[in-house]
Amino acid sequence: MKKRFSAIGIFTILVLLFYFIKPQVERSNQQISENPVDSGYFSRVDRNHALQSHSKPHKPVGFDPQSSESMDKYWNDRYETNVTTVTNIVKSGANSTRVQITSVRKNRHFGTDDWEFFSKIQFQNDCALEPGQSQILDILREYPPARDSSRLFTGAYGVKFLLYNIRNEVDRSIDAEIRFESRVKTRLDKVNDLTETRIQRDHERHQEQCLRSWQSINEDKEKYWAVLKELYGDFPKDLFQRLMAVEYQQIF
Amino acid sequence: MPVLFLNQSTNDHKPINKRSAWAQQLLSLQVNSENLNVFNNLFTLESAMTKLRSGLLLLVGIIGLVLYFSVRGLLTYSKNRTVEARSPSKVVIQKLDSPTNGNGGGRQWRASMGDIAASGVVVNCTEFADGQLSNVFILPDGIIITQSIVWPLSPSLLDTKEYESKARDAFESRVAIEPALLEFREIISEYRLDDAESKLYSSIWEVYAIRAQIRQLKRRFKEKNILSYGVNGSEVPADKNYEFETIYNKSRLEQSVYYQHGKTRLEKLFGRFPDTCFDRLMSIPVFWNPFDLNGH
Repeated sequence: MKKRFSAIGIFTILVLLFYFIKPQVERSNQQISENPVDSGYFSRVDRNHALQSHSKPHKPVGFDPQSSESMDKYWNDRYETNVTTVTNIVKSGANSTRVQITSVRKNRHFGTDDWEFFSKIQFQNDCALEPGQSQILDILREYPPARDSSRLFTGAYGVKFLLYNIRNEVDRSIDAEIRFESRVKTRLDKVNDLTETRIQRDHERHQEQCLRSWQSINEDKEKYWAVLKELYGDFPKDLFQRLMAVEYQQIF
Repeated sequence: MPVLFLNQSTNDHKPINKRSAWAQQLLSLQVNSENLNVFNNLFTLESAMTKLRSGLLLLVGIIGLVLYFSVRGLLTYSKNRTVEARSPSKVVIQKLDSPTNGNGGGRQWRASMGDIAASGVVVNCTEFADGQLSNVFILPDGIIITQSIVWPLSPSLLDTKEYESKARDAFESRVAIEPALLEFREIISEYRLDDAESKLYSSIWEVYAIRAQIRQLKRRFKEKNILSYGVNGSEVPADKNYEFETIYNKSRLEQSVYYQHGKTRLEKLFGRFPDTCFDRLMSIPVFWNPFDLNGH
């Protein structure tokens, strides 16, 4: 009897061990979500600040969800009055330096319960029109802190804007490519001593432009990855990259 | 048994007639046999109860384990299915024919992907051994578009040391103007695929080819849109939505061909290629085209 009980006990313990060990093995195959490798993207995020917005008391809704006018007003009023000026000095190659001055106005609603509610309404409306967008939410939900967060839709709605910006940047680079090819074609139609030099210069200029586009896309990604880290405490790089692979009609 | 003997011995001392003695003996035997039965029953019941208890325990254990594994299996199954559905670059293969099915030596498949998978539009693709792809796009309202393309990378070089060496040289020469190659290398390296070190640059070049094909596809999509609506969308065709839907559906199906063919090549290279890795790679835009390493 005792032998049987001990055998059953050992078997149960083995099953329990298997239960606890198995998921870890699966995760190692799935990669990185548990231990994201930070290489290149922003890592200077104040993690203590993360999820603090959760503890904020619920404020009364600043817009009427039934009224599109009220929603539009809430959207249009989102910018802070203070403008932050950012100066970027970009060095590309040995001789080229570019100074970029941009003004940044923050969304004053961001991180509030109102904005989460607004994002949820907008995101769900958009999903009803284009169901492909729901993939954003599905991927976000794969990360438990995001899934359980009261800022899930804030993050998801922001991803849409990032994808839109990336699409626009890619579009601009395609426009530049078309212009470059057209310019080269025109130069080849009127061949003279300077043609080769000019084509070379056009080519270099186009190379620089492509690098700038790549840089701009990566900056946007870095910024938004930092936002997601701030919203959810952390956000794995592999999941973020998978979010960036989402495509639907609006951003194709 | 000892009870029977004891009763028999006590009966021998009493002066009784033969019939009543026989009856008493019979009764005694009956009583004794009842005692014996009760004793035996008690004995059997106890052991039976023990057996039953352990048997029940075992049964409950087995049922519990079966239930546990069934529920767990179901959960894992549904989880896997959801992950599959959440994979933005996943091509939904509806039908797959092997090259032996008399289609001119090509592998045939029917597929769709992403947000258009549910709308019923499909592409029938035939992949030939020389790297040529023949596509038939079946769109709504009976629109059928055919297309023949040649994959930019030769199939003969794939999975050779020569390819790896050439791909490494090409990577070194291109990375300065195409930093996305570094991102490809980082992602592929993280997955520790089989023989990843000896196939790393070949796989980077393969991914580069897929991404470049997608860029060219987006360029054609943009150009078609400009042709349809003008530069600023000022020219309005008779049925604007219809036209856009057709172009979009066809482009998405073409994208699924590139994803599927490109991924098949990567799977040939490594044996397997995780969907999550492929998704991540497909999120990175490139700005130039890879050159064919055959002629490099």
